[in-house]
Amino acid sequence: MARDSVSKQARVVMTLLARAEESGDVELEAAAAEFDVKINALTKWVEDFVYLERRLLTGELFSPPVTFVIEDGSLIRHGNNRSIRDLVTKPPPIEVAVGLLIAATQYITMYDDPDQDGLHYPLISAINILRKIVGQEYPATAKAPELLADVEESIGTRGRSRAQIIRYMKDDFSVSERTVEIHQTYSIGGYWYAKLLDCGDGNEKSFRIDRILEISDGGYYFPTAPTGEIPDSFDLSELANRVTVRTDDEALDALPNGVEIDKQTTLGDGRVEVELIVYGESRLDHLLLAIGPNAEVVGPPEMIERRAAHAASLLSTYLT
Amino acid sequence: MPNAPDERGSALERTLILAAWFASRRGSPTTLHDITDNFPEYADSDSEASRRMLRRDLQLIEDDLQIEIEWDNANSIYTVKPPVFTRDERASLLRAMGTVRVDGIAEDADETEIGHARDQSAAQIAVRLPLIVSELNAPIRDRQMVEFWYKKGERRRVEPHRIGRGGVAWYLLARDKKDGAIKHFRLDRILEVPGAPAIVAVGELGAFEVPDNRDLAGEFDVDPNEWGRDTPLEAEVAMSRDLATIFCSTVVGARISSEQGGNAIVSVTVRHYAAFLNRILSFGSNVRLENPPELVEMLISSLKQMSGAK
Repeated sequence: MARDSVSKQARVVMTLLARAEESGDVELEAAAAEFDVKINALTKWVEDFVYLERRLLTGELFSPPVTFVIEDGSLIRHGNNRSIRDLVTKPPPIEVAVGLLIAATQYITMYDDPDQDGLHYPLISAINILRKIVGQEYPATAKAPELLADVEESIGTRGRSRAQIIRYMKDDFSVSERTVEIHQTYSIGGYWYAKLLDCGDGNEKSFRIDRILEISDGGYYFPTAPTGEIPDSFDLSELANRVTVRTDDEALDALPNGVEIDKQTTLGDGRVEVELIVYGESRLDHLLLAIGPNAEVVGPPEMIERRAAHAASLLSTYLT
Repeated sequence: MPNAPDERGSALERTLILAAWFASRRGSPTTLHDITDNFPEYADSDSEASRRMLRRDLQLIEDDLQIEIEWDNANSIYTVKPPVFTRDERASLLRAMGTVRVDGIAEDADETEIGHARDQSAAQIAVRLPLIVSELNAPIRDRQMVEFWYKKGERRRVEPHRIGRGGVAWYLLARDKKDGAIKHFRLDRILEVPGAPAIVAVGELGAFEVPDNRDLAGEFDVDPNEWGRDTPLEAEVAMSRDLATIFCSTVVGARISSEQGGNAIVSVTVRHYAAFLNRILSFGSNVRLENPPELVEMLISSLKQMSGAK
């Protein structure tokens, strides 16, 4: 096998150091297979770095404690001290910087107590650097609902959590009281959710936290559930309804949240014909009226009838 | 100034030591003599091979370790640039990336980039960026105008200022060259162009200034009840006390003005009639618009048309 270039060696070492710093121990044998390098060669490259750090402990170049060690065939981060990444002078590519800026801005909006957090001011400083790289400021995207802190408080960090009683308003605006065991909170698409066990029917569900009206103690402990990876999105395909509408283009800007425009055709009369997808029955009813009286529902036929019936039903409450 | 260690083995090790040595001299100009004093392998300054090795090692340090060491030809000195982030700044960013997963951008970034070797399975917040954001980043940074097809086929030329999310939609805040007004352009209304980028950067870099706006938190809150230009009307809406809690958290300016038993009257100043009535409709028969008569009449008229009633 040809000798690997120093450039490749450096890239591999930097990658492994990044993994060891960010994700934990790196098994060198698996890494050798991944990078198609003999284990002895890879170990030597990593040793060059690790033992360099140890020699630097003598005060020749640096004095802080060592950051990485090799132990039982793994590259291990040792403490949260210095790294050759401290020396990097090149700013990240703009795509990376945008991602970092959004994450940092969102984080500091949620956890903004400088007294509790030694990294608060460094994060502000990092945000300012990233804003210069990106050339803009990104506002935070997920606002915390009022009861988020109360919901999170019920999740224990020492192995046991406290059951809660919540009053919850569903999409159809019905309110119910439920005893729940909350497992974790998460945010996707700008909304916050509580993943929980609904003790009423024994099913695991995700509830929007901004729809929780009240939360109170449920009276018992349960083992804290392991946190799971948050989904990319919810699969609502079973709830999808399609409706075809003709309307002026401006009306599309005012479509309710969650409505998707699937197909769009420009008509000769200044209007557009769009096929819309909406998830759930109550959202469908809302959409059929929200498009306004100047919009024409052209299909399917049951949607035309549904719109008229729903409008008549609401109208009756104003005419009595 | 510390001396470089004597013991050096492989080319990789030599390069790492050289990088670390330079970093320890940050702020101090470094001459070729300083280097050759500490690194005997570069000592033969008359040797082309020696000079080539130094150049190669410095290039490797820049390309693979991302540490830039610049040569000042006028003064014949090397200087190392300051790091982008301090250790604490990097640690704070890594912590943020562990909590917030940003999807839709830089997903194939090198693992050596901050946060990209991180296990994000424990992230609590996921933010998904529309793909078109990637096309807007550089023009925003470079202050370069862009053109795109918008809505049903209007070609727009704008000064792109910022991207942000209002509600669940993403917007480009930009000055429209057509009328000079700063507007919110919904990113999902920018049309895709088959086989070509949706965003086309045009003209010079640095072509415009972005107005300073510190109201970032509210900038993308595009609630029509804030920006609407209709004559303000005071509305009263009857609903359950429970629903009033939800209503007030979603409609800007709404407040409970009275309550009795399980019911409440919510008051709100309406500045965009159509958007407000749309919201009233979203609650179906669970709310009833009581006042003002003008808005009630508009609502009834609208419902009559949609129901087919005369």
